[in-house]
Order: sequence, then C-alpha cells, then structure tokens
Amino acid sequence: MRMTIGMSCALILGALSLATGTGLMGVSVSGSEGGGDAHRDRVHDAGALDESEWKEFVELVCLDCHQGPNSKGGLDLGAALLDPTAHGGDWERAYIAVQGRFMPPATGTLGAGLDEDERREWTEGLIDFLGADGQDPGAPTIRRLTRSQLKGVLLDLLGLQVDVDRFLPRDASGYGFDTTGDTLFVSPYYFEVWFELVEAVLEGVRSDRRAAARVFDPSRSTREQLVGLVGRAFRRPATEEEMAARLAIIEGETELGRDAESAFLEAVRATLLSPSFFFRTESGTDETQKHSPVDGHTLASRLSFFLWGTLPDEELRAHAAVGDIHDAGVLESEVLRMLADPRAAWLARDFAMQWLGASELVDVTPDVRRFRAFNEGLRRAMEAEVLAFFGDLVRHDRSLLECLDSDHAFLNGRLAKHYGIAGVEGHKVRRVPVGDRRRGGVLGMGAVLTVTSEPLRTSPVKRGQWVLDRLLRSPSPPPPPGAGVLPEDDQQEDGLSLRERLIQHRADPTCASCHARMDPLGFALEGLDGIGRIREVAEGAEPVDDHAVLEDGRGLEGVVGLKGALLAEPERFVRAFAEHLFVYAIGRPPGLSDHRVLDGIVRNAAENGYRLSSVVLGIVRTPAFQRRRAPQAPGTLGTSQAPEPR
Amino acid sequence: MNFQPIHRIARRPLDRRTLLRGAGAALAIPVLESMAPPLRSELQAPKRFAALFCPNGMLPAAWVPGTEGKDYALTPTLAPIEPVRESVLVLGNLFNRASRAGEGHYVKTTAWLSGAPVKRTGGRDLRVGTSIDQHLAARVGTKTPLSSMVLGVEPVRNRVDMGYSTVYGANVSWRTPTVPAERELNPRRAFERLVRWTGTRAHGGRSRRVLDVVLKEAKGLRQSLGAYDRHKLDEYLESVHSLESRIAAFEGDGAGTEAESPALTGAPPEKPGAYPEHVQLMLETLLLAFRTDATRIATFMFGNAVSGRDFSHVEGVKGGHHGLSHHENREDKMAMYALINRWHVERFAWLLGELGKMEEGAGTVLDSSMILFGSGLADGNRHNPNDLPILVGGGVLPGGQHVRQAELTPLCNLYARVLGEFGFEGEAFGDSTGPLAGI
Repeated sequence: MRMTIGMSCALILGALSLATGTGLMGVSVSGSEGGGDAHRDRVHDAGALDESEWKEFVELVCLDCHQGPNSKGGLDLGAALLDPTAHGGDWERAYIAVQGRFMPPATGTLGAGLDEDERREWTEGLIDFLGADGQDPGAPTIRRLTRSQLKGVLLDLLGLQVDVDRFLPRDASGYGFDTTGDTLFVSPYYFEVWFELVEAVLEGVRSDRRAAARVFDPSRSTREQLVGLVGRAFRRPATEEEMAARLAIIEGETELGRDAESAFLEAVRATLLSPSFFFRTESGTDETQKHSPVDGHTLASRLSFFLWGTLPDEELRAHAAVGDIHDAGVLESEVLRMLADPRAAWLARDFAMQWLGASELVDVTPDVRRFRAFNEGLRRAMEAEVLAFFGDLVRHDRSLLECLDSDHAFLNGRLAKHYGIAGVEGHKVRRVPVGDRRRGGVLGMGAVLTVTSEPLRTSPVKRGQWVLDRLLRSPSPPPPPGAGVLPEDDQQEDGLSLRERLIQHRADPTCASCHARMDPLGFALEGLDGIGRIREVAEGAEPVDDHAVLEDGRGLEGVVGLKGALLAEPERFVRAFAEHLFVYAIGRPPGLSDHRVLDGIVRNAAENGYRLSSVVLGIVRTPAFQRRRAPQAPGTLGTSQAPEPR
Repeated sequence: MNFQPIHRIARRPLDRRTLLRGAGAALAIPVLESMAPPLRSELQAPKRFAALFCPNGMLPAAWVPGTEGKDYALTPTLAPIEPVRESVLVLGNLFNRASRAGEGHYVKTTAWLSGAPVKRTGGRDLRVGTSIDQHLAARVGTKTPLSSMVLGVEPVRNRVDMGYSTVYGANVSWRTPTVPAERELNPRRAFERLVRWTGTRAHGGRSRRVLDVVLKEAKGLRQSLGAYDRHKLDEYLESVHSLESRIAAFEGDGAGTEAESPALTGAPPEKPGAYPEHVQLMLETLLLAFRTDATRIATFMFGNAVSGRDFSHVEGVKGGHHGLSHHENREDKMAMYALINRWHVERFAWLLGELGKMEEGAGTVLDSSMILFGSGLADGNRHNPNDLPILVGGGVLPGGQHVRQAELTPLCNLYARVLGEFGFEGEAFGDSTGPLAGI
C-alpha cells in the first residue's frame, strides 16, 4: 500500500497506541509476513515514496531534533540530506536507530513513533535516496589467518598436527567473530610468536621421517615441489619472483654445506613467514573498475575458509584454475559438496561455537559449592552437545528452525543425567529424543544457559541480551542521553527479589530503553538454573517465576512460551542467523545496501524450508562474497567498510 | 603420527639449551650474574614502571583513609600494605575525565593508562590512546631485550557489549592508539619468552636471509593494497623489523655463558590451576622480568572489565566479582566486595616485598620502581571514574603517606610525573595539566 506523506503523518499523529505490529522483541525486519508473493509485494510497495516525498517525511519526523549545530546525539540529518555522500556514516547510524525502533522516540512531538509500514518506508526510502550500489562488496579489512584456521592449514599443507594453541594467543573478535580483519591484530609480539611457531613446525618435520618425506622428496625436482607447496600455501600460483627468492635461499644453504632437505626447509620457512601466507590476500578480476568479481583463486579460498576453515582442496583449485568456479551451477554444486563433506564440521566448531557464545564455556567459573555438578566432564559434554547438534544440522541440511526448537538433543550419559533424562549411558554423544519441550533447540542447551549466568545464579539480563543479540541480532541502542552519567546506585537495600529490582531499575527511562527489551526474555528462561538444569525453585528459595511480559505487552510463559514466540516469526530468527553468518563469512557487519540482499536470502530460505544450505548459498552469492573493491578505490580509508552511497 | 614431535616440544619440561630455538640457532641460557655487572656499573639504577589493573573498582568506604599525610591509619582494604607501608603512596581524588562518557566498564578499563577518549565500535576503527606503559616502552624499551611485558589472566571474549568491542575490556595497554599490546596469559609462555630473550644466540645469519625475503614480499604486497589494508601490512612490516633488529642486537651482545641460574630453573606449568595460582605465576614472571632486566616496563591485568570471576576462594566471600561490586549498599555484599579488593591489595603488597628483596647496587630493585596499582573506576556500584583508587609502590615517589589532590585532578598528571621520573620532565601526557604536585 502506497502512502502519501499526508497519510503517514495522519497515521503517526493518530496512532498513539498503534505501535503494535512491533513484533516480538521490538526488532523490525522487512518482510515479517513470511515468504512468498505476498511478502514480495510488500517489499515492492514499501519504500514507494519518491525522493522528494521521502525527504519531506524525514524533515517531518527527524529534523526537529536532528538539524543544525545542536542536533541531538551530534547527528545532523539536515546536513546529511544536503550531502549524503559525505555523511554515509551518519545515515548508517540513523538507519540502525530507525530500523531498531529506537527512533523516532515514542515520546515527544511524534506520539507513538512510527508504525511498521512507515518504518519500512523510511528505511527503504533511505536506501533509494542514497542510491546504494547493490553490487558494491564493501571493504572489509584484510584478514590474517586465525589461530583455529592455522591448525587446519598446517595439517593440509605439511601433514602435521601442530599444537598451535601452545604458541599463539587466542584471537580477539570484532562484531562477534574472530574472522573480522579489524581485530586480527598484528603486533611485534604476535609475529615473534609466529616466528617461533614456524621454527617448531620445521623442527617437527625434521624430527619425523615420514613428515619429512611428505614435505620433501629428494628424488623429485626441487623446483616442482616448491611450486606446489608455495602455490598451496599462498592459495594461488606462486609468482616467478617468489620462486626465485626461495630457490636462492636453497642455493645459499646448499653452498653452506647443508643437505637438500634442510635447505628446502629454509624455503618452507620463508613461505610460512611470508605475508602472502600470513594474510588472506585477494585479487579482483578487473582492478581498474571500482569493484569487480574476485578471481577464481580468491573465490576458492573464500569458500574453503568459510566452510572448512582451511585451504582449498584439489577440486576447488582445479575449478579456480579452469576459471569455471564463478559459473552458477558449478558454484552451487561445489558449495553443496563442501557442506556434505566431513570438513564442514568446521561450521559447528568455529561458527556455531562463536555465534552461540559456547566458546566462552572454557572461561566460565560457576561456583563450585553452589554447583557441585559442574566439572570438566560436564563442560566438555555441554560443548559436545553444541558441536553435535550443529554438525548434524549441517550434515543433514536441516531446517534452521531446529535451533529454536527440536524434538531431540545430542547427549552423552553425563549430560543426560544432568538434564534428568534417563536411559542414556556412556561417554559417546548421540541423538536422543526429548519429550520435555523445555529441552530441544539452543535455548535448552546447558552451554548457552551456563555462559549466560553468573557464578552463583542465573542472569535474566545476560540471557535476555543473549536472545536479542544471538537469536534476533537486535542492534544495540544508542547510548542514553547524557551518556555515561549512570545512576548513582543500582538499588538501595530494599529486600526485593532480583526480578523486582530489575523491574524497578527499568523505572529509570535511561535504563528502560534496554532493560525493557532484555529482561523479559531472560525471565522466560528462569525455569533453567545457572548450569542449565530444569528447576522449580529459584535462588532465594521462592518458586520459579518464568512468566514474562514483553515490551509490547504480550505475555508468555517460560522457555516453551519463548520458543513459541520465536517460532511464530521464523523469518526474524533466520534473518538474524543470516546476518551472523554474513559477518562471519565476509568479515564486516552488513551495511545499508546489504539489507535488501539479506531480505532476499531470507525469502529464498523460507521457500526452501529454511534449510541451512539455502542461507549458506545465499551468502555465497552476495556481491560481498563474490566481488572485491579495487585497492585504490576511493573511500576505502573511510570509517565505513560497508558499501557506500554512490 | 606426526603429532609427536611438536607435541613433545610443547610438553616436555623446559630444556633451555635446545628447546628454544630461533632461526635454527640454539639458545643458551641466560646468566644473571653476567648481567649484573652492567647494571651495577650504571651510575644510577634504571627506573622501572609496572601497572597492575584491578577490574570492577574498589569499595571507597573500605579503601579511603580518613586522614591525610604520614600518619594516616590503614583502612581494612589497605591493611595488607602494612609491611611495605613506607614504600606505598596512597593517592586520592585522581580523575579520568575522558572515561566518564560511554558506559560503565569498558571505557574505564581501556583508557585507564591513557586518559584518552574511547571510540564506540564493535570492531572497526578501535581507538583509545597509547597507554603510558607503551609510551615509555617505545622510548626506554630499546635498552632491554623486551621493550615491555604485558600480562593478563582472562582471555578476550567474542562479543560486542553496549556497542563496545570487548577488546576494550581486555586491554589496558595500547601500543598505538588503535592497536592493543598483545597480552601473554600463559605463564609458561611468558617464562619461555624471558628465557629466549635473555639468552644468547649462536648465529642468526640464516634467519636474516629469510626475513629479508619476507620483508621484500611484504613491500611488494603493500603496493597492491588499499589504504586501509596498508595499515595492517605496516603493522606486519614493523613487526618483522622489530624482530630482525632485536635478533641483531642480541647477536651483538653475545655475552651469555652456560652456567645454571637458580632463578630460571623450573618452568611454570603449562596450564595453571586455579585463579590464585595463575595470578601468582604471572606476578612471579613479572618479578623475573625485572630481576633479569629483560624489561623495565610491565602491565598486568588481574581480570578483564566486568569480570564476573568467582571469588569464593577468598574466605568470607561467596559470589562473583562483578556481581558483588554491585553491592546495592547492602552490608553483606559490601563486606565481600571489600574482601575481594583486599585480596588484590595483598598481591600488590607481596610483589613490593619481593622487589624489596632484590638487591641492586647499594639498594634494591624496589628503590628504582614505580608500581601502579588500582582500578579505572571507584565504586563498582556507581561506575564513576573520579576519586579513583590508586596506589604507587616503590622508592621513586615518596611513599608512606596518603595524599589527596584537588578534586578532579587528572589521573594523567600522575603519568606526567612518571614520565618526568624517567627523564622526560615537562612533557604532557593525555589530559594532564602538569606533573602530580604536592608529593
């Protein structure tokens, strides 16, 4: 339905109580009507304001506060309207605030803010206004290999199982994943440790005859072996210069009287220390254009690091060399082949562990006296559950909605006992049917429930934040006005329960903007204790109260109610999942012009039963995955790494 | 099957002569005695600086002494410094203005040593400011094998909180305004690094040849990168250069012999047990670094921002650190919070005591040290960065007193004073308005 400004305005002013279609957690996602044609029409209709109408709309709803030198939050949209190119970052901020329903505020001149149709008009209109280039892949920061990737790479390259963790520090993460170039720091310390690791790797080869024989065979041509090794290490054919430099090293070593193998290993050392190994360098097919498709080797490497966390295998390399890897049919069959391969367990180990926060299990310290059951065996079983569950999802290409609810869990004897499920014995993790709907899906997982708890108790705040972030990818709100001046005291001594205190906390509007969203989601999980056991009695010996009232006034009961609410809007969860997977694969958060692509992925997934492969294929087909900005393209130094307005 | 060699390297007890190889050259062990003469020959003992960071603030009621001057009475939290009281300066009213804004913990942690404003981001364009320790390391660190030692206990977590990357909460030490100094969390690794760099190297000609190739390839690659990615590559280039020059400097020295050294026998375990043991091992490593003069600059983080670590191992405490820091003015919680604070002060006092036993010239290493101890916020229940809990141990600044500055005196004035003690008098740092006065 096409709306005129007048209508929008009337709606806004007349709709004090109309902010209803707000959905579960106040997260608006385009296309919440689900898949199919109805949805497509909706998207077409939305954003149908022409540019001047849209500008009027913005003036009407935004500029009262966001114009001129005294703009609230330092965000001057008046200036941004006049020169959108110079204010790409401002528009991104505005987009997030409007999309996330933080703006316009429900109080003040506008009454109830925007309804969902208006919100979509605003966001779609912005994308049209900026004329975002849908093919622009953005400019994620160059990435070095992560610690986890290096393990697989060394195994593939040299046939060596190296205890990499023993040397390298754990990688930091940006936007929730350690595959973000921005936080893959390089420091003198890091290189020093890398250097030492390489020495240990070579020592490992030297002291193991079979490994040595695999790396270097004196009966074969040195040059030929070197070409193969450097090509695989660099994920592209070695250049003549690179070969010459390494052959010179071998020659120099030989002149010093070293044997052929030692000499060759020095060339291996130069390869493992080279920036072309250390960094994931990439190339476009036409670097005279602002952006172009990546070359075959780069695409093969992006695929293999995304799905396997390691170097491309022979088949991928062959497609890269022939050049047909860009072919849509080849690409699809390669992705499906890779997902069916055991190496795709990487997605469970690396992506899912980070997405669900289960990678933090190694760091949590539940109080040993309160939670005597928690020990190393249980921790491992919890971790194994995540790996087995997501590994199964990948292997059998199941529906992503199983993450929200499933009629089974993956347990060993230890974890089954912990969950109170009888009849599971032994150390081996297996698929177990679960009748109790409080189990099944990620919300019933001990790993998730433990990492979102305090040492002595559950944390409704942490859990609510977890649901918002991991399952809904609701954006963080802007800092409250008067940022930093936090309330004097959290609470006075008052004998209130945790829940009562949190509710009181929300009486302060600066706290309420977040807590009104987070807390109810956490309350719904109160029926599960700090290490994931079902419980009837809470910390203070009072009966568990897991009734929750959402921000929009709807009530729900416990984890089962929460699951139901999430399942009622599957596209919302799948959209969030796709965004997480996008960040993980691309190395940057989605920008303005990626949102339509992501909408398309969700739509397509809906038509394919929300199967994992449809989302993976969707990500692989995005311009962000397929293309690359030319290195000297304008704007690469800007703060925005996402596609910018033309 | 190929697992074995590497694994063995990783696991076997430290064989210092052969284990630590760089560039194919075996290292000999360091000899403390051989290092002592140059130290003693210096007219003045070298200055040292270390900063020990505690997360989640300190309960002011149990921290701040009631009176100023030399005769102040020790408060419950400060009681453990009694044996080293004369070496401790208790400072009041220091304020980190830039860290007022933003949120409760991350900015107050990450800007603790720089006083710089913190950019709100989930990953791209992290920005704080170079921290005082790294600022010093860049200027005096060339005199020692390691420019600084940056230690911690808790690993960084992969999430964004309140719009801030948790990288902020895991780093007080920033090498540049945009790149944190990498922390060493594993005591064994930290120990081995000390051994590596205080030993000697037989020959490094081969490593130099390889590094030359690597540098050349990096320069070539640089040409093909966009401006933003060049920053990353420059970090890499700088890192290679740094290693190359340290190897060169090391070879020039070449003074080590192969005598046994009591201080370096017995490497710490690969995986330390409980938290207290882990902390103890990291502090011992710090001591060792100062003792061997491997570095004169160090930082240590007892925990990351918002650390919820269970402190039930301290008698009288039941619960997590962050949780208890939100004491809500409840007596029981305040008491436990103060006990946690006190536990940290005990570690500090112990460290000073050990430094006081290390003889150097006519005095001890403690005499030439400035050991900063404290937190980036005052009361954990309020998240405020004024009247920060700050102690400075050592003989450089006059200890044995409690000195309160004028209200809202920049914390950076202390850092300007530290700079002055290192010979950079008159230099400003962060938002300093002058070197700390009145002491």
